[in-house]
Amino acid sequence: MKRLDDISKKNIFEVPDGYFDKLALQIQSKTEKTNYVSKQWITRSFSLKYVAPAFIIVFALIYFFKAEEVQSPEEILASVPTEHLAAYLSDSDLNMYDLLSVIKFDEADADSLSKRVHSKFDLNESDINEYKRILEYEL
Amino acid sequence: MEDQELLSKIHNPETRNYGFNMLVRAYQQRVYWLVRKMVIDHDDADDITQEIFIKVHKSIDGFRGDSQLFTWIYRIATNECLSYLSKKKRRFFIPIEDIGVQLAAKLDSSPHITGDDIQIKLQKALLTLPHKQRLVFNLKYFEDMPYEEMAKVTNTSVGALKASFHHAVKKIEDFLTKD
Repeated sequence: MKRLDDISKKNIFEVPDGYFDKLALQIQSKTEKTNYVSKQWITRSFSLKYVAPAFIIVFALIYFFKAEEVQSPEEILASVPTEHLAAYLSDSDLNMYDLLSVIKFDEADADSLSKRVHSKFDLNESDINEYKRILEYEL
Repeated sequence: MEDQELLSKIHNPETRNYGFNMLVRAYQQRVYWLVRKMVIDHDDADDITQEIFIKVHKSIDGFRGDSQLFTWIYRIATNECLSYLSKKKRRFFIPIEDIGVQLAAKLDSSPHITGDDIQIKLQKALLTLPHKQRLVFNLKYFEDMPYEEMAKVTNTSVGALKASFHHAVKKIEDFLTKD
């Protein structure tokens, strides 16, 4: 059997001339690039960590205040369909007198409402007399 | 320059580049030869050695000094070599024996290899071993590294390393006797 001890431990591998001098320089140039990249990454991570959230907060505040400016309560209420409002009011404890007490009528509103109410009735002279008689009786 | 002096220069931002350059110059040859014996080809060894020192540079701030600086660098180097060889096997679906055949062919064709027939034959015998066993053999036989230090580098028990080396020697001597 051939024994390992019989073989010299010579290194059979070789490198090109001046290889190790160049190797150190190549590694140095790569690690300096890595330094540059990691500095860039630190800047980038700083911007991700602080600048981006700051921008988001600023945009959110602008949107919030702008939204408040644009949408007044009357406008929000105007966007609710009439049938939804009627359904809400019929389910609430407010009666007609409560509602009338919060509505500020002027003379023009009263005339307009009166015309709209009376236009729906087709009353003749006898109906009017009957209506007057009932009012006199009840009052 | 002592390891502590090297490390203090590396940890000082003003002397970091100089300190790391000194570290490379101190350890590049030992790392290169370890890698070269594992991958045989000079160009591959060159790439891997550079990659090892870039990794050392990236993680040097995390080196706590639990082991010697060289042991720590060697651990990175051995991991990098084994990872390179297993990636090569996976990437090309090559059986381990065929990687050995490929590397053996480089022994015959590479311009940067000298040595007599028996030394070339010894290298070919080594290429029949599993990668980690070849690594253990190289560290013990060519570098005469103590088993205790080897255990730290390879994260393997001293007993397992002794058994691995013993089996490697037996396989190599069988190979050398065959022809």
